Amino acid sequence: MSSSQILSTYKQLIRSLVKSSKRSRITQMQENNKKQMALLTYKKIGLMRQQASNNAAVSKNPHSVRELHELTKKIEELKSSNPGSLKTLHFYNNSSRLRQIIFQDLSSSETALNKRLQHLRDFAGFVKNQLEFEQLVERYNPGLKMDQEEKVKRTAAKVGLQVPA
Amino acid sequence: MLSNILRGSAMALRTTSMRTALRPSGASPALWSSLRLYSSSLNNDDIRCRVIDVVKAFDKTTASAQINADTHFAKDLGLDSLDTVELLVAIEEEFDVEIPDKVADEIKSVSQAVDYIASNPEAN
Repeated sequence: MSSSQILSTYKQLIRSLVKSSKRSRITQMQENNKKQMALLTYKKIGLMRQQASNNAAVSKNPHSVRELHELTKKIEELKSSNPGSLKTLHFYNNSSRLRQIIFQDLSSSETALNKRLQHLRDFAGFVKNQLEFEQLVERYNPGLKMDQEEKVKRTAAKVGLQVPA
Repeated sequence: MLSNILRGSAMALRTTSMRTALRPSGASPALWSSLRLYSSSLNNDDIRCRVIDVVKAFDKTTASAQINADTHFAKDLGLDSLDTVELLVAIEEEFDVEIPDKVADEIKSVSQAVDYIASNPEAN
């Protein structure tokens, strides 16, 4: 009886945590991708410059050509990757720590156990509702997450102007 | 009254955001959304592949284990009950459904999960 209760509580908890962490994880991965891409592009440009300056003196070095090719390929790969479709997003990545916290000094007495489970359920509910709240706030305030450029563009469009490209 | 409206919009918001987040890559968005209005466009092979992918992404599964349709969560993958719960939540997320506890207790292998998803009209 109690073990099935524990399992269902644990499930609620994991479910809410996965759902609430998903979005931030996706944005984080996208940021990371962007950074990586910028770095690779920088490297590529450096290499191309080097090649251009070398070109006058020596014939093309096959090694650097290959390197350039690899960099281009990596950039393309990053560009086409979509972090939102990763299956690892469906898992909560710190569950062993979570379990440790939940199940340490789990007492065997019925009332204490029930109290602990109730607490966990409350926690799961809080996480879930917090996510919903955030989504609603965002939905009712579309400007909240817009970047400055977008805001300026839209403000200009409101009075019939266009921001120069 | 007011709380009703709020709840309704929250639900709508959740379903739309989930739908856009979980749309599988490959199918073009327009085609996908028009298909999903009429029927769930899932076939069994598709479901099996996706379930297996999810299982593979789980870092607690033994990496060397070959995963196929008959893989049993506890026997073949060495998952305990808590791990199984995590895996089922992941499968729920993948297909954008919520598996009720009673049914979830019965799902102990890949093929059972596939069967359940196939029988659930809301899965996508």
